[in-house]
Amino acid sequence: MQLTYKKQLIKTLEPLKPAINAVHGTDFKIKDAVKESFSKFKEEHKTDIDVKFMDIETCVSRLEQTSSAGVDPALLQKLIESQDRLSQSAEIAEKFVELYYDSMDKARQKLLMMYLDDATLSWNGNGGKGKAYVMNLILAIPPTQHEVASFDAVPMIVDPLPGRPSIMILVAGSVRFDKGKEKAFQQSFVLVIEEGKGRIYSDVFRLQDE
Amino acid sequence: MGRHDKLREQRRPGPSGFYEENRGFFYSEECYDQRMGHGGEDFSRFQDRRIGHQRKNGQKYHFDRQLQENLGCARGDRQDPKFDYRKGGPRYIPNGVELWNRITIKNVKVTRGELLKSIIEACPEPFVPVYYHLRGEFGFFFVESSRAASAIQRLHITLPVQGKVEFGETRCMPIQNLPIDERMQIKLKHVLERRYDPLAQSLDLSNFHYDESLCHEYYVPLSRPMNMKEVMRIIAGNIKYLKNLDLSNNKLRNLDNLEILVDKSVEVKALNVSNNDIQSLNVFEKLKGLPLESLMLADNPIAKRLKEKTNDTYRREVRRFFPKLVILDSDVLPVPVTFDVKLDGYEMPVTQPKFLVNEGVNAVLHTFVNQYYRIYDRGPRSELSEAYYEDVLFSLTAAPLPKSEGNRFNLGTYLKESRNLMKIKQSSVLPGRVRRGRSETIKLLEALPKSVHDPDSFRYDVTIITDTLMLINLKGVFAEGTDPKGVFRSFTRFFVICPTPRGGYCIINDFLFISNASQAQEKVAFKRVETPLKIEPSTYPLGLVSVQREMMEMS
Repeated sequence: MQLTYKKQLIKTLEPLKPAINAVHGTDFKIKDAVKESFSKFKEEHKTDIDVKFMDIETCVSRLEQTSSAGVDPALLQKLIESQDRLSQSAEIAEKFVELYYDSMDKARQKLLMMYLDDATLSWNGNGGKGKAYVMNLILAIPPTQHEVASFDAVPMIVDPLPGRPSIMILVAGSVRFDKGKEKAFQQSFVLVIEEGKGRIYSDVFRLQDE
Repeated sequence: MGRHDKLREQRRPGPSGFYEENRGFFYSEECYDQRMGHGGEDFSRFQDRRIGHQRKNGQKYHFDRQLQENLGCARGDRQDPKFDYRKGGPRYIPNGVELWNRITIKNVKVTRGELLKSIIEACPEPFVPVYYHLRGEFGFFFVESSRAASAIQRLHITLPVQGKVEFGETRCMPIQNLPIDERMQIKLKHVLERRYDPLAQSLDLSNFHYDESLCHEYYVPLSRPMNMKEVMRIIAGNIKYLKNLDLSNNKLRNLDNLEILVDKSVEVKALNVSNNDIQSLNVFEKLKGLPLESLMLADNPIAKRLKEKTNDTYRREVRRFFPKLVILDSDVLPVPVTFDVKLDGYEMPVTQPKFLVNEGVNAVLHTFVNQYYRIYDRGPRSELSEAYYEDVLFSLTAAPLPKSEGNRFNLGTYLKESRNLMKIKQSSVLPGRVRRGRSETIKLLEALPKSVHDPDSFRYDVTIITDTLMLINLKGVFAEGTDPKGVFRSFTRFFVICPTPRGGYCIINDFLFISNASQAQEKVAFKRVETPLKIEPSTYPLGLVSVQREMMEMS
């Protein structure tokens, strides 16, 4: 995994080469500068940002846009903070998606605990607010078998519940109702993060066919 | 005397007697038909036997017996205490049967209308005369309330042709069923027509046996299956859609015969069975097919019993039979999930094209989405930069359809730019990147192939609406290229829009998911639109306005 990551990094830095060369003289200085600041940042804040979710390319491209005269540590810090949020949301999303579809397929009661009290649920357009409605609907759906093909998560710029950080997740995959035919579905969530776990504030499920 | 003794013996109740044979069957309302078939006809067997037997004994008994048999009444002969059950006579009266009162009028010479009218006017107690008929010189009619009956009996009326009206009164068993012949059917049809309100599409069958045009000639209580069946048959044959069916005040014990409405798929939206005698909710077992939205069940023994427990139990139990019920006893129930569509043999909620947690945003939603996609389809997409927030987060994901659906078209162009966090789990590669900011977003959008969206395929879900944001989930179909008959893709866009200080809206978070359109989607795509949407720029209203730094301070 480390190898492919490095390769990608080098690939992205390629177009920057002439610019970097012009300013700094060598290709690798930006990369080193980024890495250095990155490790400094890690030490200062004592965070353990998971590298796999880091979009170093984004950092670099932004730097390219904003300043051509070296790496501005303040901006980099800001970027890394936002990257931190991004990767944090990605981690939470990963755990959430696994837990959600597992519970949905095997133990629906667990699922109900994951919804906030005033969550809004919309299942193929049948929507309602509140835990009673959610319970009603979730238990009414026939037994399912989900297979997630893709999911993506980002933090929300404006939180729907003020003061509580939230993330948006979009999941796509296929589902079988009661061992029937596979059907493509897309499901979108808004999770409110509490103590490192996400609780559902909005849930929209749509079968692709209908 | 000897012969009389013999008769009396025979008339006594006993193991071999006539009375015992009919005990329990003869008098119960519902069992009229069970035992008698059509009511009246089979009974004539016994009638003839006895009449034939008693003809020997003279006119008096013959006459009285016939009366008894025909009318299902005890003998009117008060002078014979042994057979007067008011004094503890032999007749067995089971529980729950309310006794009627039979009024006899000697030597009737006037018309029914005149006579009844004069009696009703003169009598201090209100009553409804039922089943008036003549037998020889005598006129008979029945009255339900005994107070009225005794009041009538004490009346002194003098009519022009008649002279003084002489009343006889006695308690009796409820009137026996009359066979339904053509004449009665026509009569019933008239009654139903009169009670049907075409504007409100409602049929009022309350107090049916007291219907004015019906009760003077016939006694047709709906509590008797035969009558109910006939009435329901007439309804099913003539009316297809009933907004309201009122069956209150009919002493109904069960609703079996309403099954005919279900069989002939008559749509009944509201049913009123209040003030009846329903003992258990199982009466609704056969009526599950009715698309009931409102049910009045008050003043029934079952309702009282269930309500004693809790209101919730009551509602829940009724809901088991009618899941779509909205109004129960004038209480509005929370909207249920409707089970209509069968998906792979399972009942699922029906798909709705739109869900808005607050209907007020409908206009804004449509305006924004339509504008966005007009520009998106027409191009150049750089015009959309105004629709995006300065620091928007945009992410594109693409994935093929499940293998069973097959993928006719290559998703290569999208997969290149897509971000999929599943990839790390599956193949440990980088997930792809999120676009930050307007310029990156527009760069990506411009790199995607040209498109034509099908607005009919759009499905909206707006789940969060606050002062500062609106969360929209939009699903639809688009065709690549400018030709709507080209490559079809399905997309889901999950985005958040914020109101801008200048009155428009802009996108602050945007997710775009793209996959191939399934066969089902392809079939219904672009059924209405022949040409791609082409609208002149001058007709754009101001909706997409750029945002300022103020937005940052808002968050």
